[in-house]
Amino acid sequence: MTGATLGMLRREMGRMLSGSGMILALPVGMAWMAWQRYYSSGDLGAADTLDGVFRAAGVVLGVLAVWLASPSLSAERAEGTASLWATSPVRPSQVVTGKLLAVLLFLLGAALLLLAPPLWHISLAEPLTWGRLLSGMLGLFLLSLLAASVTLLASALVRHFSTAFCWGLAALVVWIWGDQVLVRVTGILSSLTPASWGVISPEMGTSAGWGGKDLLLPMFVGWVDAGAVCIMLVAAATLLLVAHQVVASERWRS
Amino acid sequence: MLQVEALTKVFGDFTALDGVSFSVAEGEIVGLLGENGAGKTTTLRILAGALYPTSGWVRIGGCDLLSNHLAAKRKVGYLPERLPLDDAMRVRPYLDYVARLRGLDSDERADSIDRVLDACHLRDIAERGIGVLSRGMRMRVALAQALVHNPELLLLDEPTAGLDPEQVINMRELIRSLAGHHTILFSSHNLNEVSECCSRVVLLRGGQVVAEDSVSVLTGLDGREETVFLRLTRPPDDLHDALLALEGVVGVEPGPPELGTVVVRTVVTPGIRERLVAEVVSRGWGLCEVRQVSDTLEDVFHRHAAGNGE
Repeated sequence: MTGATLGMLRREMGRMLSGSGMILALPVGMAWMAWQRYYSSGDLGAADTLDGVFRAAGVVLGVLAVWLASPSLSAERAEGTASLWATSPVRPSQVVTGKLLAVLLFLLGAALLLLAPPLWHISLAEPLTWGRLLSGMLGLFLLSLLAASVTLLASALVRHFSTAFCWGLAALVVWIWGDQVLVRVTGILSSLTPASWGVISPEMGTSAGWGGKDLLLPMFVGWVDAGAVCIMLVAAATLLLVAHQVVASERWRS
Repeated sequence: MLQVEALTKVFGDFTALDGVSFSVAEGEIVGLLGENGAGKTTTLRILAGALYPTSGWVRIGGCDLLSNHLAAKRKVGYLPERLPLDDAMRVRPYLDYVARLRGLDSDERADSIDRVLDACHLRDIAERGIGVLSRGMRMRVALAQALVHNPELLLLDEPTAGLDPEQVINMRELIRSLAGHHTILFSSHNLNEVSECCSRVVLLRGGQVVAEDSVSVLTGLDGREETVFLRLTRPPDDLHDALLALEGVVGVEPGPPELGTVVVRTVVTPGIRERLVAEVVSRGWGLCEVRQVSDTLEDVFHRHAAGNGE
């Protein structure tokens, strides 16, 4: 890792640690985790409880990734500090890498904080298998990576972090709850358009197989599909590549 | 140190720079002067590597900016008009961050930061938050970030903009103290500042260089011309023509008739002022005041901006 990337990473970590949002986000996330563990899961066994823990952690970490990544590039551009990179011997790839690594490193810390208490509690009742834990962690990592990547791209494209946050959150919602969103949207649209048009029917969007959730959920129950992992890695890499191209463009610098 | 040749920058259908060429020798302090929209900031941003030129080339310390931009950027320190400061950081960590961006290793960073803290008189506020600093102190921190990697070429865009008079004086002293250690190219609207700090001026208008010379030449202090101010109690009706007919007089600008003032431009030859005064007295125009006026850079700027400069 180059000095410039490391400098970027350190600065981002400092910014995140000083962000008031984190102070709120972590307790809220932990409270939700506790709710999932003690009330939502009922009297299910450890394996099923673990599934619920990973699902809840996925939502918390996904939102956290969007929150952390949204000001990464947009705020620097809005505040004028982006001119420091443009006039320094720094490549755009170093900028994007530094920003992404900072978000992922912070999320790693948040994941440890979130998962340690429920995992410890579950392990008291029933031994945990490493395979199950690792597949769940891989799912969380890929979800966080995708959420951070899409938000970094949004952050590169807009000037205000709140806009980037909305874009990132919308992408996350579509990724996780896309099928439910689509069912509701098509339901509303079909009620508004005459049936004779035949353009939109309430059945649209109800077919199984919305990509995001179907790719992630098997990992939370201990099933890793190499194809699913590749799809998510390629998607993240593509998003980051586009973000890199945006940052490298002269229009972005000016 | 810096060579700029036929630099052109086009934004859509607007030509911001049109064949700008000039050079700056090592150790020189050169002022970039021009009206708003003349192309000063665009020139500096291209030299700093923040913009790409449409055509032309730039060589900084022997490095071509376009083909070897990372090496060229290491030789440049840039203070933009909009200060690139992170208000959430303290001064020393901010300079450490910038030093990392500029590629300094851990051994160099500590020494470099101490050096610029001393050079910019920031030692006492090194642990304070940037967001709480005054405008003058913020400007010093911004200058420190431009200096942290000890660049050969320092580009300053309006370095005294928004400062109060005392801060302006301090900043000018600071810039002058950097002379000898760095080659400096700076833009400014403050013509006094340019004449006080710079050995040479590049005058831009409409994206083109309209003049490039030493301050003394541009202000007429090299002996080519001088300006004489006269106040007369009985100015004749044909004052303009009468003065212009005198040998050595090249220009006459009469003031309001009721004041009886007139500004006369003459070539500098031995005894020209004595001859002028003798002529005015002999004609009985009632001479009550005569003094020599040196051209300020502002006069030169307006002459060139109006398009009637030499």
